[in-house]
Amino acid sequence: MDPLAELMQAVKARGRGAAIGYVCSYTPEELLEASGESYTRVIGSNSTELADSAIPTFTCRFARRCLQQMLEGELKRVVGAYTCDTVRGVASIASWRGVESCFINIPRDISKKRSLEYLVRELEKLAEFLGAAEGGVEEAIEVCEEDRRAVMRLAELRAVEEPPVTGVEAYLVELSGMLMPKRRHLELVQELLDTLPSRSGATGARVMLIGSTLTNIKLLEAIEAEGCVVVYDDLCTGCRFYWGLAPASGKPLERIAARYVSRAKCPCVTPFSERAEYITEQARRFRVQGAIFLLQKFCDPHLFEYPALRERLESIGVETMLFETEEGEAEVEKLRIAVGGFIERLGG
Amino acid sequence: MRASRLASAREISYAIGARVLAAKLYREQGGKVAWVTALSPVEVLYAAGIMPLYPEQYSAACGAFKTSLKLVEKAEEAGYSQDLCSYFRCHIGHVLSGEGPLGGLAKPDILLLSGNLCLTRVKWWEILSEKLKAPLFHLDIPFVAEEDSWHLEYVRWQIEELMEFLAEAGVEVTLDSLKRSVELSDEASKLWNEVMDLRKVRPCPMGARDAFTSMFLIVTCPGHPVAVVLLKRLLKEVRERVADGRGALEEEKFRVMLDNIPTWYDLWFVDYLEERGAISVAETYTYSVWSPRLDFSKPLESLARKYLYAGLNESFERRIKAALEVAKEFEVDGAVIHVNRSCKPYSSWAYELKNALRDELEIPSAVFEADMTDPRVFSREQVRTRLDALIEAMSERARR
Repeated sequence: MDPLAELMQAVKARGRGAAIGYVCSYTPEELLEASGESYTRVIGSNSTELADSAIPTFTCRFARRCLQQMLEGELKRVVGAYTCDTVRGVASIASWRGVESCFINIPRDISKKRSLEYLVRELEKLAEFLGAAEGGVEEAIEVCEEDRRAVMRLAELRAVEEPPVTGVEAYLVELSGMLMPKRRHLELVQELLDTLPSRSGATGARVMLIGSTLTNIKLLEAIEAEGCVVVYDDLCTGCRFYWGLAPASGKPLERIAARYVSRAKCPCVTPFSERAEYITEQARRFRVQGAIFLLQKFCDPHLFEYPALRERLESIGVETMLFETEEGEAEVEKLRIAVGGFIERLGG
Repeated sequence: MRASRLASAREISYAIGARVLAAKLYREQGGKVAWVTALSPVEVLYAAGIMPLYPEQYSAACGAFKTSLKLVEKAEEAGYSQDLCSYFRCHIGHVLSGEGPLGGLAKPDILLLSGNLCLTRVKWWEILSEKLKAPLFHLDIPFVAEEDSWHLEYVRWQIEELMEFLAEAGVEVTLDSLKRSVELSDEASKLWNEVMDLRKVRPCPMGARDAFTSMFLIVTCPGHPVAVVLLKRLLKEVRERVADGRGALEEEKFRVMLDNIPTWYDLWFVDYLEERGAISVAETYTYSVWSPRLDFSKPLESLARKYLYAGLNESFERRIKAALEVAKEFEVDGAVIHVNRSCKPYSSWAYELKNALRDELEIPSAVFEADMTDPRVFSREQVRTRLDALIEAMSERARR
């Protein structure tokens, strides 16, 4: 089977059947891998019926769908990181309703020794909860790092003039890695990388995406249907999950903790100045002409930084547009039209 | 008939307003001013002679002065979403336009941020730091679902770091001055808790309006003598009412508990309840969160504990159990739960709290959605319907 087709299948299956679910890209997947149990990222159910009677509807819909998935009871256990206020709320409700769960705190300034020590303590707590033995963690780190390297290699190829993959294809690679067994994902990405030299390049205005989560691929398809190519995404269900590697040596949990220093920055745990620097650097590196803020409605961390980040991008010549979404089917056409106007502004 | 007001609570409201004006004079004379988030260790600032101002409280005041709408619209014009916290929008609207009541807030020399209640304030203070180019200290307080020892150590270490940060800014905090400030803070806690506990008495001596006004003192001045002085006066007045058997209402029919930050621009719902004989005897917003007892011989550990186990920073398990305890001790007949669009962390427990009150104690609730400072999403009609249903349910419960 074509590797992309299998990755697409994994996205469609949404990790169904896994025993453990994890919330947030700041969850150390190495510990899940080392647990020996099947696991998946929680990306939500289609319905929000149970969740809507548990949390106000002015909570982002993605989070409500995730809460729904947790309350439906298919997952035996849920783990994650307390990053945004909504995740805290969702985790608190799930725990209160008896879902077996364990969440960790991510210190804000991990460059400090005491903060790093604190994070290691949190990781120990999670490792214990998951039953991840130290030897297993070491091996799991290698698998996860190999997968990250492969996905980042693919992402880096999008910096060239005519990228060998479209934004939709690259995103399938990224999202599927959170929803299927890690080793199989790695094999497929490597297989795909081997076929890339023979592919023709994608053309169109070069665009980057900024936001938190995206699970409705049709939205991404609608963007590229308007004649642009998404060459980088700053999404936590996309590149942000993979970007940055752990140091090559050290104690396993310290290596995992240290990776958090170098990984892609999320607005929940990163001061704005660092985030703005990171985003503008990526915009330059991937030579983007425009940035689309594809924000989940009610996603406070991103909405807070939007005005200043927009200003920063525009100051380096990157045009921007904002589209708030709840990922509904009716939004697909609206987004397509909005992007059409945006591409015209880019001169595409 | 509405609740009769306490003279000492009115004094407190004057003192709070006066602080905003005093800060300007203080700064003009060379004193340092800090903008701080609520539930930050201001005991350290008071020990250093720095005057803390609270943008959140200022936004609440803007609501009460009915100027918040104009300010939130200023923020929205600048690109900030209408879905963001209205305290933030109100304050950033003030920063961007210079407009606001009481002549505005004195500019800060230092920004102090505690991450114990929400991420909103983290992003807010980062924006302030960018805009005002003022040095920011971020006290990174983890969320405490479990009582693990390393959380406390982590926060304690950061309070030491805060003292170093202040020393670098040219302000020394000695251990003796910190102990004194923590001692004053503890005294204020003790007084506040006594006042709150006296509301268990039937008839209840103090209503919600006085509680909301007075709480600003325990929020903003722990560690400053003014809190002790004014809370003593408040306690004295409340005690007198209790001794005389005088309630805030002439005829107390129902005892209710209010949840969440109130709709500052329109406390009509409080009056509506009082006119029907329902007095608020406890508010989850005013009660206990602000006033744990402190051991001044261990100032750093005491402060770390106070600001770590800080209300919204704790698990539902702890918070809901505490709320049920209050409902029992205060003999609450019903609850009014404000699902506040501006405070997601506070509102995320609304339905669980309502269910727990009903299932554990057979206490009915009225739940309404609104916003603490943005009046555009408040509908008296919607709230009235819910309150009428609550009164009916409480009457029914009383008949059983």
